[in-house]
Amino acid sequence: MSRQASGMQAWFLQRITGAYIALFVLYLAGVFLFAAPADYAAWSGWVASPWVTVTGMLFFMAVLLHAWVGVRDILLDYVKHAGLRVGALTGVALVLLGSGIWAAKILLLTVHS
Amino acid sequence: MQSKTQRPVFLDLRILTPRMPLVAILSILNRATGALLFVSAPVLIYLLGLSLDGPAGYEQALALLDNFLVKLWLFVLIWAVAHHMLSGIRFLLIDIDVGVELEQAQKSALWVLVAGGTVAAITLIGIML
Repeated sequence: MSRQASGMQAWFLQRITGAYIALFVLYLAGVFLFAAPADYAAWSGWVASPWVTVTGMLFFMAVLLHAWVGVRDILLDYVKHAGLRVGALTGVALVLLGSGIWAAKILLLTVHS
Repeated sequence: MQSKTQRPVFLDLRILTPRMPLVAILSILNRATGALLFVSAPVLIYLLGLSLDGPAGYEQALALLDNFLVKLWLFVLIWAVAHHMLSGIRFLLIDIDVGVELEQAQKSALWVLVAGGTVAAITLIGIML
């Protein structure tokens, strides 16, 4: 992964994903401020709509990549011991992949009630 | 005394110290808020899953949110998101050569801090009401 997302590529990836995440967060904030789903039916129906499922999946993918680049940068700066570094990076990668799969499962299994 | 004043000064700390910290603080805060959001993500996904796990799960998730400590945590997260986002936009602008000069960078740093705090304050009022 570090080979695929290093230097200029990581820098670019961080900005593209950051921009998408920012737009989606603004959209979320708008929905919750002005048209917050009032009950379970409205909430699950909103999540299950194709637009939210697809943009939400892209959001989680963007967050996964953004967090990987960001947390990796932090770990590379502060964890100098090679073994600890590999261990920490592996842990972070597992947490992120697990979270991504979990989030995808939630989004894909949600149906209109 | 004469010879002392004529010494060349390479890095005048008297000028830098009042200016550097704010810009540096912004950089550290961007990492700190990012790290906090990373650590919180699994809990947020858990809450999302619970809220979508049938009407009972939905009620359970709402009940979990109806707790002072959870609200405090959410409030800190909303501040973190607002700050990280504004701070990210600032870095993006600096990347494309907008506001690179120290004075502008310092001004925008202050602006990000204040704006992030304002979003948090508005949210706090919203949560408490």
